[in-house]
Amino acid sequence: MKQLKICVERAVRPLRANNRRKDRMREELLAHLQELYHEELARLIDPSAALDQAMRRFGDPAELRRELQDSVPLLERWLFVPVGPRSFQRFERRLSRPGENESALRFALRQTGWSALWMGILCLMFAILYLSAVLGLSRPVRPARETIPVVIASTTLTLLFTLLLPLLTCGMHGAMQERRERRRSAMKIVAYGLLGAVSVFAIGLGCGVLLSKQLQFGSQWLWGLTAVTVLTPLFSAFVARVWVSEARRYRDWESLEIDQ
Amino acid sequence: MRRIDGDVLRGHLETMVLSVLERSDAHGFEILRRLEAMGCGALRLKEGTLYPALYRLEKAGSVRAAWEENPGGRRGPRRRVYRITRKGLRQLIRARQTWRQFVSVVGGIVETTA
Repeated sequence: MKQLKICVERAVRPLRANNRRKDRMREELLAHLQELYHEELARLIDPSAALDQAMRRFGDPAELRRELQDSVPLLERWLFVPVGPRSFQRFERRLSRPGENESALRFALRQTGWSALWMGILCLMFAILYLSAVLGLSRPVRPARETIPVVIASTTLTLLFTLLLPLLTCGMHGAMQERRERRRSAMKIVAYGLLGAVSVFAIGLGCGVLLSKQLQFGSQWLWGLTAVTVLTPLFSAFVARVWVSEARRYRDWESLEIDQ
Repeated sequence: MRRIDGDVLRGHLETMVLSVLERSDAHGFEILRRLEAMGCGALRLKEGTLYPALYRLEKAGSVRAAWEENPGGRRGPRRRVYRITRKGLRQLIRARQTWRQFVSVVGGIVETTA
């Protein structure tokens, strides 16, 4: 049945459309092609001849691709136009996926490194804006003592999630593998969740201490922080679960060699 | 009977699909089988090209689709069952009127012998 999947993938993969739409097309076209194959197999008996005949009746994937592309809404087509040269697209693809034999930790650190770079650029821009506001405006601006802790806390939180999510995702992948792997992966998931919760609590507490005058902050703040701390592992696990399910769905299709 | 292929059918495929769906809901494979049966085997269509037509109709709101819920023990990828909407029915009525006018006008010209 791999040949049938390749036939479908030749028509669908190059489309400029969102993954959900492509996935729907893949499943529906494959269902049709499989029925064609079974019909031909019942008639011809020979599987190889049935395969050829089914693909012939289905039509040329390149022609089908053009027609499928026309059925995608114009805005979506425009949104999914590949940006930049092929080398940039390859770079972007390599950035967002773990390499072959790359460990989860290395992949997570790589992603965190890139995020840190972008966050650094954003922080620099923010600092320039802040300084120009301080120097150029006559009216008083929010003091740095209040602003900087918030910037540092939000940057650290973002980096923390960038690190945690790939680790959780890889842990979940592992949990769905062999029985032997499951226990270790489950422990990893719990450990990453706890690490996330403790880090969020520490960052929130630090931020609260820096922001509060005379180191006093109300019980309301602590309750809020505790709620966020409890929700952090749940939220991270939910996002990682969505990633795992998407990755599982597309991995089979994307691994197909469709070059003719 | 001489076969009618994709190029001739292309402009009328959406109307034919709506016409099939007017009778009852169906998935893509079933739509094609019904088209073949109604065309007495004279229609020759690359089967994949049905789906862009269905997606265009869906985008226009003329049909609605849902994944098949009870495939009757069928294994493998799911199929989507298409249903004609009120908008689709109105589109079908208009397409039939246009078709009759086309046949009447063009048929009158083409069939006139010298």
